[in-house]
Amino acid sequence: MQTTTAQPTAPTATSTKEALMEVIDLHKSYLSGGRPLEILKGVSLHIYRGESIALTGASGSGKSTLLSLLAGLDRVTQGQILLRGDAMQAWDEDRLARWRREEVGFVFQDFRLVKSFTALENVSLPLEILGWDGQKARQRAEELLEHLSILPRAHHFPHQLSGGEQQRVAIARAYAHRPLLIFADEPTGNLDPETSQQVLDSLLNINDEEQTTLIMVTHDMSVAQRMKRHIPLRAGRLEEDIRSAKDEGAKA
Amino acid sequence: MPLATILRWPLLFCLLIGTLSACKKQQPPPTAPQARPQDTPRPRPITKPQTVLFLGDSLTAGYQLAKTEAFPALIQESWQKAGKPWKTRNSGISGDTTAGVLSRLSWVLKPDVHTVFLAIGGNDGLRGTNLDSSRANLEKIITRCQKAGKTVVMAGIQLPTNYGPDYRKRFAEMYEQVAKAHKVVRMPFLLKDVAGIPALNLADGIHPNPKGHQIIAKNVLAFFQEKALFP
Amino acid sequence: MTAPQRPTSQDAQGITKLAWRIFWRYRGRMLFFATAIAVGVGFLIALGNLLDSINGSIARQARTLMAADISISSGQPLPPKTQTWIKDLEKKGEFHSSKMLIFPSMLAPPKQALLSPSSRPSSVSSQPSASSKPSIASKPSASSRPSTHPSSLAARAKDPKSPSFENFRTPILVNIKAVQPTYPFYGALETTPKAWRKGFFGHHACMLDRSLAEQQGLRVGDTVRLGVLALKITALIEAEPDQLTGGGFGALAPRVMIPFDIARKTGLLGFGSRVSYRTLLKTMDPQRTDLRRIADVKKTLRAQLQIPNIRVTAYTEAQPTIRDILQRVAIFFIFVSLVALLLGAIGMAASVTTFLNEQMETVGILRCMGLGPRDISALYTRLCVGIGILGGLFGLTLGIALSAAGLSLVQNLMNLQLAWSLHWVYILESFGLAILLTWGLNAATVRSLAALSPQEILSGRQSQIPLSRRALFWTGLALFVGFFLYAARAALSLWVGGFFTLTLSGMILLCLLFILLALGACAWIAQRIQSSSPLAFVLRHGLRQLVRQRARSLTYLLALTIGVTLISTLQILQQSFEAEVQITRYNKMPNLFLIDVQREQVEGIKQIIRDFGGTPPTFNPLVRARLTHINGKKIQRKALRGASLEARMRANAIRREYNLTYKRTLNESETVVSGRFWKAGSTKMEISLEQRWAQRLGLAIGDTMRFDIVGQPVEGTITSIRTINWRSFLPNFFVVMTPTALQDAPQQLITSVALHPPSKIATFQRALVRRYPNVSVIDLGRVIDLVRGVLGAFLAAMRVLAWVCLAIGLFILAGTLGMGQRERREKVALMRALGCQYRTLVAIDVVEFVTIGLITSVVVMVVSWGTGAVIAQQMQIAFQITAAQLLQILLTALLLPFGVGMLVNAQTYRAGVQENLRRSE
Ligand SMILES: Nc1ncnc2c1ncn2[C@@H]1O[C@H](COP(=O)(O)OP(=O)(O)OP(=O)(O)O)[C@@H](O)[C@H]1O
Ligand SMILES: [Mg+2]
Repeated sequence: MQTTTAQPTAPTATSTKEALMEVIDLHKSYLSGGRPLEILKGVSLHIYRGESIALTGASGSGKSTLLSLLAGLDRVTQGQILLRGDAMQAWDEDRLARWRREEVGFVFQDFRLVKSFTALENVSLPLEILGWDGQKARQRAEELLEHLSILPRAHHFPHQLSGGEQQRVAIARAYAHRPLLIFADEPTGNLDPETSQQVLDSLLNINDEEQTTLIMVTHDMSVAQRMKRHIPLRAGRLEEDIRSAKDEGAKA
Repeated sequence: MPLATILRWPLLFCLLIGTLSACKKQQPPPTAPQARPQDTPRPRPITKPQTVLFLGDSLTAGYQLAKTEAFPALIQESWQKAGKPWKTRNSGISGDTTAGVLSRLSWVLKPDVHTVFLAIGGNDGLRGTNLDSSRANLEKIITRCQKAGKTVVMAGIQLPTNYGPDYRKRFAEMYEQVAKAHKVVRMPFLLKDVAGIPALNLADGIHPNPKGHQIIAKNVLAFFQEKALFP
Repeated sequence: MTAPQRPTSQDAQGITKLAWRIFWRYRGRMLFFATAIAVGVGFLIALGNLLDSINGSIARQARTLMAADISISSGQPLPPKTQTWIKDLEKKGEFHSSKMLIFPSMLAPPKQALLSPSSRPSSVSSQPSASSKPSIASKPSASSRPSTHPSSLAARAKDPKSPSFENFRTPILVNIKAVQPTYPFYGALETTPKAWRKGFFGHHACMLDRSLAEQQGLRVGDTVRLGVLALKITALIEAEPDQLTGGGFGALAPRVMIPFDIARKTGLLGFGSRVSYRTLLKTMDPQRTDLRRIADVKKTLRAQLQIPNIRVTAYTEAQPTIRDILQRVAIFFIFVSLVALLLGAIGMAASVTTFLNEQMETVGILRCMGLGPRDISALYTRLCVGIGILGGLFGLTLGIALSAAGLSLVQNLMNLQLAWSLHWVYILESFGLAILLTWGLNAATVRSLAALSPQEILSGRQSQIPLSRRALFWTGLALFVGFFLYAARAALSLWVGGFFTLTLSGMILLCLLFILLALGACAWIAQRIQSSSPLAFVLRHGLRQLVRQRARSLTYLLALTIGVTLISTLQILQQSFEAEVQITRYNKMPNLFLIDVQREQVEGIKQIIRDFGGTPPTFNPLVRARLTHINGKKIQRKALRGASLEARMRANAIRREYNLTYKRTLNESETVVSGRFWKAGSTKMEISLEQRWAQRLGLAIGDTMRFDIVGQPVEGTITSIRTINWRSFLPNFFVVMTPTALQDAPQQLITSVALHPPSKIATFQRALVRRYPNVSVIDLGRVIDLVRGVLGAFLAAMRVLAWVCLAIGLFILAGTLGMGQRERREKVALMRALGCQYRTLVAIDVVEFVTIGLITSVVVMVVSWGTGAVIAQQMQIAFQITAAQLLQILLTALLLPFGVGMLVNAQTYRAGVQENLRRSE
């Protein structure tokens, strides 16, 4: 465990570069049994282009909730998320969808593959939605599956795949269309160390090469270590913003 | 086709038609005062007329029987066996009345007819029609037959007792008086030995069955013989 | 999904508790399953119960219509032996007996009766006042009127040769009924004044039909003559319980009742009388109706009375026609209900299967917690039985409501006194049927669910409960056999049951085949559309969505097609009926038939009709003829000596008397189906035959027929074949000839007249008969009313049924779409997460629903056309389908899934990603 300091607001005003996403005093509560249950109690955060962020925290601390709020999959209860200075809560579902289609890749904690589609079809889906030709989308999907060594399973349906295989399909689907932002909810949770490493490598690789921003929830400290930033979430608040040495070095 | 019979909706209509035909059966045609206009005497036949025309109602027609089972056919059969040249022609219509017979006279009084055997009026009586019109019709029929040169034989008909003495008497008298007035040979009762005997009638109790018709034929033949009508 | 808690023990009680918990947790869906099955069950229960009630009521009413339990009628008095036997029955305290005579006779009204109604003394006939109190016939009359002295007349009548009847008018035909004081055993004789027995029995008295009294200007207190007796009118008959009995001759003549004791004195009975002798029997204990005893007595009487023309009737067998009609109509509805039940069953089975699929995870967990396959099987079997019980309960409730509604409808329509009852058999049947279906149809699924290993389930290896082909086959077979047995029982005929079951299975298989083909085609098309256009994307995904969820698509396509097919078939049949029946035209329909009209009377009659505000009709000549030759060959009589009269009659049917007509042009109810009808001026001897009649005699165009028309041969050639719409109530004939052939033949004229309102009929009839006494008027009004009433109810019921089926269809469709809801929500959420636009999402689903609609409409059109044609042919109605109908079917089938689908999913499209994901759990 890292040492922690009580520093509620994460972003430093010193940052010169304009933030890609700006999260300001974010609250999220669910109604449970008629009473509001507050999960996020004022989260603030700046995300910059090309960053890689590890989000950690105890189970039930609200990591997945935060991630889906960031990706516009759910509505905030209070607070703001600004994308390039534009307040996202004013967007309608279609606007959000268009943004996700063009700039976002998302890996669900429980994969969430389309059950009636094969692995290949699942991966080519975001491309098709972008308006790709069916054939071309297929080719790109095949490449990705090849890369993640599950090409032999390309024509399997999700229920015919192992948990790890499903996870890899989900990852391939998330970055098939070369998004600007990738949100990944424990993308390596079901993988053996070797495959896990391989997946992480490829994710960091595109983060590096294409300046893709990567926000990843993980319980694995070694994974968190490899990210440029590491933000623990506790009791609905971001405890601190640990910039990794690597990032510090890069900045310097 | 069982389904047809089971699902067959038109059944109700059959019922309806049934009601209708029942009505028709039970309301035999009554009087019609006028005769058909064209009634000129027929030209004399080239061959000798040897046909006896039986003009009547269901009793003559053989209600519910084949025409060959009705008494006119039986009479011809018997003549044929005896080698006589005489023929019969059945012109009975079920439910017919004196008015009906009158209106079809011109159709049936063909040159080959020698004698008209008239057995009509039962339906007039059973329907309780005014007997004055029946009598008038009978007289017209007879006159026209005689004008056409035909011999007329008239069979009497009796009404069931339950029609009351008054009406029955007037009905019986009608035949007597008409016969007397027009000098017509009269057979008193067509259904002698047959009427009222269940074994000789159909289930309805009025119409003779084939056995009944055999007896009628016998009686009619005996009557012909008695009057020396058809040698 | 929350896995239910592990039961404290695995014993039966624990399982039941667990089943109950699942039942309660998913109560909404359980309600749906139960309702799906309840509709069909409810209809069946209602019909069965209704039919029972009607049959029971008819039997009860039959007593009233016979005024007795057993009636013996014959042309002669009963033999002494039988009379003694009946006396014995009476002595033993088993039966009451009453004698009755029925015969036609002539009744003479008094001369002064019609003179001038206004100048007559005494009050209105319906309200005889004390001043006009009828004096007793056998006593000297105290009446101030110059009426005949009854006793002196009776005295004079003893000498029939010199009757002095100058005070009476021409006699009229009446239908006499002589009754004993015990008459009637059942029902009531309604008269004015009400107490008719007073001054009737033991006197020279009589009662007349109100109509007769009005027609003849007779009143209570007048004296009429019957036979040799003068009888005082003591009351007017308003309604007679056993009015219809005592048919035969004079049945249509007005009724006159006299005391039994004076019947002999009238002098009308004796040799040569045609009298119907009746003995009525009534059990002494009418509350406890001992049907077997009645049947016994009847049998003994039959055995004793081996005399021809004696009829013994027990009330239990009376009114066979009404029962028969009801039975037949009911069978039609029972079949439709069976189809509704099947539809509900398919919907129920399909959605329960989906539900069980969703339960797999729970089952996996339960299995891990130590429940064995047996427990799982017991658990879900209990759940199914629970659904069945709920369905039975709903079905019963619906059945009770429906049969109560039906009862009041039938009651109004057929004027039956119906007693409401619910036999316990139907309660059992309701629950039995519902439980059997919910359990039987899901047994195979439950069994294979229980047989799955927890590993198979939890590893996600099995996305669906695998169903073996064998299990499906057996379930299908059981369903087939069950339906066959049920249908055969309802129709009381294996053949009909078989026909129904086969048609239904054929229809379903045909639907299935079409659907499979269509799905195959969709898959093929989805594969081919790979272009990058948004349209291609939408099409590809819409079709793929349909094809990939094969089981679900198959189920709801099947439910939908069968449902819509059924509705369309009903619709087509209904319209075919309506077209044939032309029910809307009833108000302008002829309600009177005039027969026995002579040609020279036509103008006069037309004038009378005009005077009464009717439109003068066309008069049709009627010529009687016997068919003697076909194609120049004499029709040979078969040798049938010794054969029964019936057999001979049948054999002679062809030689029977026929009614022919001649005409220049066809009337509106006739349609030529082959050949050509002659030109108006044809001078040839031509014949046009009715189609069915021609078929029965094996005649075709070009054949010649020779008729014997009262002794004269008339021959003609068949030049056209017609069909006739008999429901037009126009006078129609099987055989029509050219005027040339028949106009000189002996003939009478008949016609039908539309005279409205019907209240005019009586005066019209009187006016007509006064001038033309030979013309018979048959009033069709009551028959038409009955037909119209029954038809109207039948069509209304059909329409209601069609709508109910539509509602079931919609309900099941919504339910079936609902069962894919979970998956659809998840998919929508994911598509949304991947950036799919609202429009695109909707468009994909529109493609799917429209495709379903297209498949459905094509299948429905083909199959309902076929089914409709087959059934129409079986029911012998003209099958017709209009372009509007086709369009209607097309649009219904097309828009129904689309509309319902959009409605059900509207919320899903709008919801956010997380919301949908959450809801899909
Ligand atoms: N729809 C909901 N209604 C009520 N409570 C919810 C809902 N969704 C999530 N929660 C609650 O919110 C809290 C945060 O959930 P979240 O999924 O964000 O946790 P997490 O940090 O991702 O945990 P884990 O590491 O176990 O995945 C949990 O306590 C959960 O019970
Ligand atoms: Mg989580």
